[in-house]
Amino acid sequence: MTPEPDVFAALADRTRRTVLEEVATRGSATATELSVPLGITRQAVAKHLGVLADAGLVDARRAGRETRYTPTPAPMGEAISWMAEVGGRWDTRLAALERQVARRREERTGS
Amino acid sequence: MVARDITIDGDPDEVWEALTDPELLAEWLGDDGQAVVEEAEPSERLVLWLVEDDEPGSRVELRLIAVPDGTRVTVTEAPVGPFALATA
Repeated sequence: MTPEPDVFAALADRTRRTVLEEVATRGSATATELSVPLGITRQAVAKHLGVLADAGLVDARRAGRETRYTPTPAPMGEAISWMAEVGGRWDTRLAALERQVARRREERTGS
Repeated sequence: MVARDITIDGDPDEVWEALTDPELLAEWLGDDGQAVVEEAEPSERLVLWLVEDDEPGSRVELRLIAVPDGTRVTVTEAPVGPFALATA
């Protein structure tokens, strides 16, 4: 299972992670609501929220003149399980590499 | 992206030899896995694409660095797509 690459791209930006954290903390938020506490313009917040929405990390819903965003944990969970699975695989592979190096060394020294 | 590292008792040349041993690669990939080598700088750097049947695959970069205790091997694996570009 491979998660959507968009999830990683969306999370690669520090400000965007802060925006997501803020949405998660509040349960839901609009760009206007986040602009002041984050100290960035409403337009910038809206752009970050758009990227997060495209990655499926937040859900966008029109509320009057504004769009309200709520966090959607599913793709994040997918990304985390991918990282855990792949990370575990590398722990095993690197241990195998270490054994292989030791084995070759023993063969060379004839012990 | 996933990142791991290990320090192995042995110089980078020894680690590189073990790393490029077909036996090890077979152990690493299992029965279904396939790897395509994108770049190989002996004793320094190996870039692979890992492919599994119906999956888009991922890019793996292994680096070998000589340290006082031997060789530090770092590995990163990232799925293909915009993420690779975002972190390039």
